[in-house]
Amino acid sequence: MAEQSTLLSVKDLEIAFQTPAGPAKAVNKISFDIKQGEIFALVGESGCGKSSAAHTVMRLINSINAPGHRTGGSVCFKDKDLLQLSNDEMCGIRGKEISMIFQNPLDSLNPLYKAGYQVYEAIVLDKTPKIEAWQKVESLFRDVRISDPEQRIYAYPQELSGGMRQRVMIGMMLSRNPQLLIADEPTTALDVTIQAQILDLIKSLRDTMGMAVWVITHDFGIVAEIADRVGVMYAGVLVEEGDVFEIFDHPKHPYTRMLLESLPQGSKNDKRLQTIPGILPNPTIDIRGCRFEERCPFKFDKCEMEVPPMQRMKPGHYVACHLTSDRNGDSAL
Amino acid sequence: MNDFAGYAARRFVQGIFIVLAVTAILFSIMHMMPGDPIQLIDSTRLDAEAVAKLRHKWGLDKPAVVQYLYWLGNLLRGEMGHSITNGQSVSVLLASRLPFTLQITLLALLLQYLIAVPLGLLAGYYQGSFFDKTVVVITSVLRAIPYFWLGIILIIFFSVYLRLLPVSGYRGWSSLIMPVLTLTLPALADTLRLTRSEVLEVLREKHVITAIAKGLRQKLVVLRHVLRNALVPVTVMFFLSVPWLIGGSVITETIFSWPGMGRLLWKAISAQDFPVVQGIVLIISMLTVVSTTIGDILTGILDPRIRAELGGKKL
Repeated sequence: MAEQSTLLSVKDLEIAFQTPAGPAKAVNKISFDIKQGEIFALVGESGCGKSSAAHTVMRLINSINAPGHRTGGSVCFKDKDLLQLSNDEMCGIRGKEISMIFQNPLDSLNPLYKAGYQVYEAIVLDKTPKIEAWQKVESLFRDVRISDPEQRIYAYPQELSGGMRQRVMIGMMLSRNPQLLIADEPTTALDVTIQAQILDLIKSLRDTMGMAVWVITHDFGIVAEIADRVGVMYAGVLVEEGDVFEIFDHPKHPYTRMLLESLPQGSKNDKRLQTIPGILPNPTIDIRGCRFEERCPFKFDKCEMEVPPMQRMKPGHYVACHLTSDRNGDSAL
Repeated sequence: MNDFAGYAARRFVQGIFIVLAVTAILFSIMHMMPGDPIQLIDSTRLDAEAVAKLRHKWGLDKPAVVQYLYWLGNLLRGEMGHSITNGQSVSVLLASRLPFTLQITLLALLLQYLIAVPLGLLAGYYQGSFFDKTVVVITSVLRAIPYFWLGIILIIFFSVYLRLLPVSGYRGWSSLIMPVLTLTLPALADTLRLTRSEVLEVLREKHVITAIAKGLRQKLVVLRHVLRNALVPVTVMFFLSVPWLIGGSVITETIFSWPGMGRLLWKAISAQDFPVVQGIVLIISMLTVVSTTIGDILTGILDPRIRAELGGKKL
């Protein structure tokens, strides 16, 4: 794919939530870009802040679902800083320019309205005439490969399977031709065969409609299947970023390497599955050095003292680790 | 949808049996009470023979079961009997009193929901704000107020102190204000709290985030996806609260000497006037059954999940 211009540029994004134990930093100064038409995957274990980052970009974190939260940094989408827009301006962005699908399709649709109506509701926001809008709903249902679209548009969400509901969500969120689709763990709640179908659908829709996709997942299997570029997140920080082949073939950060080693390898490998000992650090406690230090088998003095900066390894491959920056020729790498 | 129509029909038939059961139970309770209406009229001036004659005339000498069946048989012919105390036809008596009761109860119900639903929505949406906290405190106070106390306080304030409203009886529209307020205020608190907690619950549902994410403006999200969903249980409560309101009207009508069915019931019970009590209880149980049935059917219409369940269709 030819070099394309940047669509979304996240700079030093910070998010802190109010908790009884004090402010918890869910996301701690992460920066990355998403280019037009690419599929960027943000990978990390549960609770690392990847989902919070996506919700913040969509400005879906508000005083109702997270009272007392704070955000910092900037999220530039086509020269507009989304974090500075008014609520009204943001309404013009959501669905139209950036849209989002969620982890659990089972409760992502309103149970009181027919599936088709909920898609229709999005389409008519663009002043589309009624009949045309309904025709578009039907053709969208066909595009997301829902069988019997003529009938299914009149079905209530609870009459549809999980995979079907996620297809409705995808159709709804692509109905206004956004340039970026954020998919927050789009297949986590679905069974494996449906997972593959949904990923395949997202990929083929990207190819026909040309929107960029930002996938959030904890599963490297999904990354391998769909992503062009990968960012690896750990405890609110981005630790490695690069082309998908580069990350799989030459992972540099110990966390990335351990994550990849913990993937099941299929029948050719009958070793015990590798795990990463330890848990995520407490987000309410400030950490002076590297956040992975506690769990890292290669740690040395500096890791505890200093935050490793993000450094370029190769064009397009960045790592934040003292091992790669200061200990040239270290045997561990 | 056909399954659901079947459900509605079943509910209707059930309702008839419930009304029958209620009247039968009431009949037995009335007959288990010591004494009878003849004794209460003027037993001192009547000799035993006259009493026996009167008892025979009103059918009181027959077994309770036979009396009940007579009453049912007459009812099927549209005849509800006559008041023992003054001989008036029960149906005529009820027809003259029922409109007064319906007037204040329906007005109170309407007023209650017109105030409670918007305030509950706002309080829930702005949870934790000064407005919300004020509403919560006021409703806690309101729900602790008994009807009879509120009625008396209103009379003291508006009639005795300010001399603005008539103390009691029916003298045009101004007489409606205090009885309606007495019925509205205590019930208002529950409806408001219910709306508020439903709104809070729906606001936390994931589909609200979907509605925002697809680009709907805040107002549409709140009206179409929050209020609409929150209104399902609130609507059911509207119909389920009808019996409570009628119960409240017995006390309220007595305080304000309102010429409605509630006060008539109170008087009839004191005089052990069986036919009148039976007639009123029949009306009340019918109103109750009809309104709860409407409430249940309406939930099915408002919520497709319940409709599917009630229709017996497995999801």
